[in-house]
Amino acid sequence: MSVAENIAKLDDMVGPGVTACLGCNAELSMRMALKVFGSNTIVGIPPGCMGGVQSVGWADKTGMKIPVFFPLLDNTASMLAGIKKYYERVGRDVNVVAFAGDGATVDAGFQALSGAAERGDNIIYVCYDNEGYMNTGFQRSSSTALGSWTSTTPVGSSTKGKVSHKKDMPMIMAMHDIPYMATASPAYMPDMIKKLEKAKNVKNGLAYVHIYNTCATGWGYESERSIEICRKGVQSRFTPIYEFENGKFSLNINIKKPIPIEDFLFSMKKYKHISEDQVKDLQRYTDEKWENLLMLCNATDK
Amino acid sequence: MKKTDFICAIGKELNIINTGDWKVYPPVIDQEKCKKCGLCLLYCPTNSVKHEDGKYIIHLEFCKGCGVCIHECPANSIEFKKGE
Repeated sequence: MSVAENIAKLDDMVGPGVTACLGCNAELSMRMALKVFGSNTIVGIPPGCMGGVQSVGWADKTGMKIPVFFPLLDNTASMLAGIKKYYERVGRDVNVVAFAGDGATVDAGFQALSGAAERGDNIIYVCYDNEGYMNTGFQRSSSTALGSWTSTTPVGSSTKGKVSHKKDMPMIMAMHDIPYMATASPAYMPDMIKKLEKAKNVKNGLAYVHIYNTCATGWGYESERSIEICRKGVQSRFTPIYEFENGKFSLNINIKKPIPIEDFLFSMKKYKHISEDQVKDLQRYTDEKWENLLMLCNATDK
Repeated sequence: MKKTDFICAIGKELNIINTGDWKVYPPVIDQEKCKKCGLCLLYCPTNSVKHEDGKYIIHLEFCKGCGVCIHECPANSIEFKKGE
């Protein structure tokens, strides 16, 4: 039976009409993640795109068919750790899941997440990384890549987009020695589903899944190309797909012949302006990260 | 299951927005060309593609008309139905 037929049998835990933009990958990731986690789940969604699309609901109404919780931007992991502790005390096994954007993970929520990882709280933390605070008007976050146009890193005569590289959040989480860490991309859906299932079965600590999403509205491309851009990111080695399980790194999608990074960059408005030097810098950064990853995979593969 | 079993509140009713109104043209699958790979179901952001009786069918109630299914279909079996 194919992956699609198995997925078709699962119930969708998100209400049918949520107001995400056309072709939103984050909505796809949220629906898929909650389909895999099932009805025995409590989800916490901090402010961000997925909080703003009415999945948390207004007043008496809710956008989910499961309990949904609206923590602050910077305490998602600690709030959920508390909820998990309560259910551990009453003896009920529930999946406590955070579905947070990159702002609530990489910037503001980092301290709470790092604390939860260190304490070994048994929660599942899913980050959908669309490289910015997209629902408040495309401001930069520390997950935004070098040279990106955002509303706070504008393109003008003196500045040409963001000046620093993105924070390598998956690797930082792996270095916390959590039982399970994985990166995923919606373009490689069977791989992503497998990883979400693995994260669901972790019972001895925090599981972290980093989903590389794109944003049609903020990145500037036509809505139908969402998956294509995701795929180009993986194929140019810009967003490597790997996992870290019980101290071992493994590369899940090995790109033997990468496409040039220009193919990925110039397929959207976000990078339209960038100079040759910036392209070279991004290529060098991507190559270095890939080499490091290969070395880690080889070193821990015994 | 009682409401008091949860420490976080569950809402009384679903907040449903009629996103089906957003689309310009409805996407339709040509069942003769369809190779039954199911990529449209895996990639649909709004969960509008259903698998029924061995066929993949697009339900248009909440489809926003983003066109991801049309762009990703390897058999080019999905098209916007124009002119109605």
